[in-house]
Amino acid sequence: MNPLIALAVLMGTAFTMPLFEKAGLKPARLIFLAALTLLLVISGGILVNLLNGAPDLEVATAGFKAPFSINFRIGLAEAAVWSAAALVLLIGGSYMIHREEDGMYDRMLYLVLALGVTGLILTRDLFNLFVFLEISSIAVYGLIGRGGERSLQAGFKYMIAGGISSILFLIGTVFLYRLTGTLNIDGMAAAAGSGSLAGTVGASAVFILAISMLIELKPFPANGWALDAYQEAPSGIGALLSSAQASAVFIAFTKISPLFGDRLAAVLGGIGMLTFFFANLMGMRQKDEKRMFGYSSTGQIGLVIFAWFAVRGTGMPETAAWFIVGGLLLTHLFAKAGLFWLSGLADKSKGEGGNGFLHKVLPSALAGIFVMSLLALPPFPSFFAKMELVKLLVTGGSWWILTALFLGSLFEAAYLFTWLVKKTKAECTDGGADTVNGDSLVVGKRAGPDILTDSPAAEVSSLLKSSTSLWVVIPALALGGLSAAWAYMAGVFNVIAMAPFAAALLMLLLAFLPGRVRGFLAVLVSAAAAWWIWPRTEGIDQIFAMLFLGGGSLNLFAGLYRKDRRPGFWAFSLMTVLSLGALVLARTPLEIFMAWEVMSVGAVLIALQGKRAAGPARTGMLFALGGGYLLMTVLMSIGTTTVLSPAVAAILVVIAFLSKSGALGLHVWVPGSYAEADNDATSLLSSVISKAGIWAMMIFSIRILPGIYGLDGPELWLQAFNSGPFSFLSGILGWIGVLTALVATIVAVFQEDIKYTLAWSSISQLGYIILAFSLFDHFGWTAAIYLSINHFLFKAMLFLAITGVIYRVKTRLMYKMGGLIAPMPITFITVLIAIIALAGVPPLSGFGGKWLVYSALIQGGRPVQAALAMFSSGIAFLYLYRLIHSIFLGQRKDDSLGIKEAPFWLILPQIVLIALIMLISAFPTVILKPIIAAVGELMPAVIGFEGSTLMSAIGYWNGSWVMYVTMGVFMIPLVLLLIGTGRKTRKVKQFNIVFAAERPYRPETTHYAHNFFAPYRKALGSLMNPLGRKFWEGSAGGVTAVSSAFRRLYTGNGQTYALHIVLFTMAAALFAGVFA
Amino acid sequence: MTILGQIGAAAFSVFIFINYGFLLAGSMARIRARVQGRIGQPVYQPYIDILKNNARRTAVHHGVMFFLGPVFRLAGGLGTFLFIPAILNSPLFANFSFSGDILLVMYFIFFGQLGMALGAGQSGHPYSPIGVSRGLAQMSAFEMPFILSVLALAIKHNSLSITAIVQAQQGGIANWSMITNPLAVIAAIIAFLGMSMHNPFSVVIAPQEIPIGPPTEYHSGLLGMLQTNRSIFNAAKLVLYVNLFFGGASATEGVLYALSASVLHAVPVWLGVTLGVVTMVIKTFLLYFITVFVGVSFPRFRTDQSIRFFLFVPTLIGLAGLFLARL
Amino acid sequence: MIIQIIVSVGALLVLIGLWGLLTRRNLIKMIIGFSIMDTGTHLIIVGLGYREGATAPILDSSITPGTHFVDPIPSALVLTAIVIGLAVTALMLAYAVRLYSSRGSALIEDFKENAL
Repeated sequence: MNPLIALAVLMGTAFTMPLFEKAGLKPARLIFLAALTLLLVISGGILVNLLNGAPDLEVATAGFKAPFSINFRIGLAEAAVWSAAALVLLIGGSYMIHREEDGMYDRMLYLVLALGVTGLILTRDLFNLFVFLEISSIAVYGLIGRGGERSLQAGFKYMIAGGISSILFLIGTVFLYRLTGTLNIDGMAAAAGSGSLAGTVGASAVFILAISMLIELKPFPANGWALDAYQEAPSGIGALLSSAQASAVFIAFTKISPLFGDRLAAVLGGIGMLTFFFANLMGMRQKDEKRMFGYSSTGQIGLVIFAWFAVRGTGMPETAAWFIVGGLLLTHLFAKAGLFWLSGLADKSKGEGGNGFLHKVLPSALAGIFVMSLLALPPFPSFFAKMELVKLLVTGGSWWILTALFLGSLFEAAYLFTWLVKKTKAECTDGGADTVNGDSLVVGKRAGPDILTDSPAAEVSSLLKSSTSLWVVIPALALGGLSAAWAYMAGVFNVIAMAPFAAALLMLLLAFLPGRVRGFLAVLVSAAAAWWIWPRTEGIDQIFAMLFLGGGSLNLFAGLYRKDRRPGFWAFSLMTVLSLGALVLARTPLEIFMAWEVMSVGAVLIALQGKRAAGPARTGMLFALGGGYLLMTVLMSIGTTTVLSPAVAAILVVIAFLSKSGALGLHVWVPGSYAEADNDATSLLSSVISKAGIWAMMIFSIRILPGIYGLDGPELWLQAFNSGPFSFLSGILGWIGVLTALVATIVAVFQEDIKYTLAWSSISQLGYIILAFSLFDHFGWTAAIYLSINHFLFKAMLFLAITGVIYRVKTRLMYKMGGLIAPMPITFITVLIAIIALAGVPPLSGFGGKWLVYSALIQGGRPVQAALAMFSSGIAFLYLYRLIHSIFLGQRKDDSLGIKEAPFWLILPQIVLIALIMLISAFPTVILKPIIAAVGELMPAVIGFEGSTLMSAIGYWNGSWVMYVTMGVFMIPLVLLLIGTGRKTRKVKQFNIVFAAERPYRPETTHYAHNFFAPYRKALGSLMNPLGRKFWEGSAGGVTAVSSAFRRLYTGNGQTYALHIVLFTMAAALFAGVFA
Repeated sequence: MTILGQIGAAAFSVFIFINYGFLLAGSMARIRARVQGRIGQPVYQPYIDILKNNARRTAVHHGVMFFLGPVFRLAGGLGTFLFIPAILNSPLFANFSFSGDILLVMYFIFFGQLGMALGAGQSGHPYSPIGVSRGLAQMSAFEMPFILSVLALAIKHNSLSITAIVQAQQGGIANWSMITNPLAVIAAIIAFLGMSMHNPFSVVIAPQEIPIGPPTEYHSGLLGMLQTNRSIFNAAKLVLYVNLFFGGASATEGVLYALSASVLHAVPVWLGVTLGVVTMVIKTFLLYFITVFVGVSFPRFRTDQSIRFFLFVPTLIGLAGLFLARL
Repeated sequence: MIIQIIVSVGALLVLIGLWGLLTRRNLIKMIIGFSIMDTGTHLIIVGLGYREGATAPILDSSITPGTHFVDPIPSALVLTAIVIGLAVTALMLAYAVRLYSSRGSALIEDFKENAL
């Protein structure tokens, strides 16, 4: 269909709107929407045609061909952005009608805006471009001012900026016309190619034109007016301004970019990156959400501009270039529009007496999709685009730009994620977690999760009632479709890579089902995945796949103990567990990174489901993303051997994985996230997901890191780590591991909150694994894998048992418990076995881990590390005893008198785990033989079994005999007791103790539990200095201070903004060498 | 040797060393009394205590774990002893040392302590966890020099096997760890003072302020079990120390063996084993005497003081010993 | 020569207008500055289209083959630009009026409360 029809219809409808208005509001609105629908139909039709392989659509006007007339050209990029803009315009129109007052003039202006946007995208004539620019600008000026007095101010400032920009545009245009003799952009480009734009005048004209368009794209620092506009415009208008209008201007900008010389292009690209960096830096301190989205919008457009010039410089094919630029642009277009709408809808519902609605399932899912896509997380197009962009930068060795890109992204993540959390969680108004003040930690009545408060039926009906809420689904659907397309183009549109997303989506779509139904489904899917993956893997892959998927299934099963719906928990848990499977199966760098990213973000999202997890989860998110960027840098340098030195690559990778595992210094997100996550979720996080970092370190050591430098091979890689370029890692990792183990153990000793105790314990256990891993020999890696499995077993037992305890006693503070052995004997047995295993006391399997690690360290010539590790494992007794005593032994409190054993759903996995741990304790060969064999395939074996005795060069251990002897010596006194002295005793009452002939007053005063290791604190408390936290908090404080300082740039005075524009232009001219 | 034979041998070995432990405790108590100017109890007093305690009726308990505490404790003591080869080259006293090396013994020590602490915890008496808290805190601290000295030996002899370490020390006092690595031995001896819980590290069982620390609520048969453990566990620790640092005792070597070999043409096996046991008894007695000597000479540390003490000078000595071993 | 003069005058007007826009605190004066800029721009456009000694680009009997006439396109452009400039100026004035009536002040620095 001829796109001119669209223009005609839009203009016609706009100007005849008063007529329709006479016929009544409804017909007027209907016509309004019909015009916008037509726009979508036409643009969509053209897009479909082009996708089907039709050639670019050329449209001439006035009966002449270009350059004798204005012509339109629609390629795939134009068609795609046009259709997207049309879609957004249609939804926005509906939004305006339903949610904001729509006067006749608003509808007219809106249609004019649509007209301007369409023209900007389609036209190839420079002056025509000016006209459409002005048309859309005037419409925008008018629409911004609809929001009341303050929006008038913003509109006026916008007009001043737009006015300056349009004057520059005109001047540039006419000079170019004078020099080239044509207004046709392609003609100009051809003329520029033949040299008619050389010289100062030509360069100045191009520069002026470029800068005028750039100003419309809101570059830093000449964008104060735009931020005011975003802040004050009604949400619906902000949505369009940020998405459709900005994208259209950008497309126009790309059209004139062939005129730019290399230097100008570099300056413009640089401005784009600066904008991205500074906009996001300043966004961090933003409280007003629309202004915050404004910062994000200018930042995103800055990134798109940067990307455009970055790909332009490489001369890559058109499709590859648009893969990057289009991915970023379209993601921004849909996501930002969606966010503005959601925020507006939430405001409305707040105004109507509600408390916002973003905490409900569908809106929160939508908000999550929009934010995640803006953060360039998989599977959204921006993810693939950013990967490719990073690849460009890595290949070009542009480290500073890469740093700015990553920092800007982190800043953006910080504030967008904070917003998301704040809006989607109903209860997070009470500030950060206070672990010392006991009362605030009482879990309280189990009211179900935050993001779901209505019954399923009410939820669905309220959705149906507010049809505009459903409209906001459309951008999310569009993002979904684009994701699939981009994944397909990137070559990862396969079952394995997509399964996590599909699972999460399915779980969210089924959110109306009862929680346990979906829980069962999740367990089934996860177990099926484990079943499926078993024959498809071998060696350490298989071991870890079973740990991930088998362990994940077990943990998911435990999650069934809660009856409520938990939409987030089931979706993200299943997603994360499946992504662990995908990680094991991933082969290409992209697949690996994608699975890794999903897994690490998924873990944060799981943690986020806890009531008070907002703060820690945000830190976790930043560490996950930051680690991801480092990893991406290394993965993207595959195939470009010269750009990263092996040491740098290794350090980046190690930092990425250590921040996942929570090694000392990078651990700050772990304790809070683990402690504040839902109790059963913590088990999943600690026992299963935390091992991903270990597995990934192994895989990167064997395959990927050496692969970059051509060192991958059965012997080569090991050599690279033992004496080659990576050999420095071994010692560093060893010390990191042992210090993590030591310090985290000591910190764990002093915690009153049981979940913090276990969280720190997890950190320290991961320290042991890192320590064992750092040996890079058969012994050490066997130990690392064995420890991983053991840690899974006993930490899952502990966390699940504790889940039951907290579920029953409604507190996390240990000193408030006591004497629970009586009501919860099975849970007690679980904890008992788990702490014996964790402490490494024979005969249980934990000792095997200790034996392996210490023997490996001594044999590897690291006695000091071995000594420190043993020392810290001794300290582990302190918190372990404290844990079991304070909870289960001692005096029972009055308020726990009526409680029962933990629910069946929690007990069953515990029993399975007990059985497993007893099995591998009595018969270590069952598990150690496969591990030794699997590791033996990678490197020369130095330990092995003789019979059932595990032999190393310096020692030996026969787990089965230890078990027999222990059982024997245990049975003798037990039998004596049973047949002898113990027979005729009776159990005395609680307070019947030898208490100086007195009766204790209260259990609280008799239960010795609070500050259990006071002397220890006195002696070693100074080691508790939270250096890591201070460092990160200091860094964050510095960044926010800088952010505040820069924000003062924006005074709110329209004249200052105009001055910014002038100064900005002059500075840019200086850099672009216009005056030269 | 058949399994049954092994069990029989182990039972015999346990029997010998339990009795030795009783006598040692009795004699040391008497020595201590003499130092303090008292006459003191007879040497056989521990037997009387055990018999008396076991004869008494156990009337009350505080729960299952309370019952299992002493069981754990005794099992821990027996197990620790059984994983140590008591006399070198003597199958009768080799115990079950083939189950694991020194690491196993070091960690199995915790088995009894943990179980005991749990049992005491269930009694509900606040003094029990206070004692446990002190004990654990102190234990984690004195572990440090002990670990360092054990690692020094392991490196010196390139083995974690106790048998191998003892074997390497045969052939004269010059081969003993005491001579080859005196620093490690000094660190280990200081750690041993902490392990024995005599002064200045006796605050754990705090005879004055807290009745008897963790076992406060235990009585009659249960207390008897704890006392039995004390003797076997003491013997186990002493045997371990002598094995590691003072040349151990061999059924086929040593000064006594050489003496009798010079008298007899061929030393019969039973005599060799006996001489080994006698050697072990003499060495352990002297070793234990050190703790008694220190115990009666010094006042007591608070828990935090002893933690800081162990983690400073003894740890530095242990580190020095470690470096000495690596030279 | 005349082209240079016209264009220079136009450029000067743009700068004067810009100076007014940047220094006058009154909204109306700022708008006047903007208008001056606009006018200067129009002058530049027309100036650049001018051919010395050429006639108007109107096809009538006075045109013979070989006659020079001025470039018609800038003239067409300037018409459009004037119209657009008019629209923008009108809108600005409307805003200024609305702002003044809301606040009783026409000073630009009184309208900066939505910063930060």
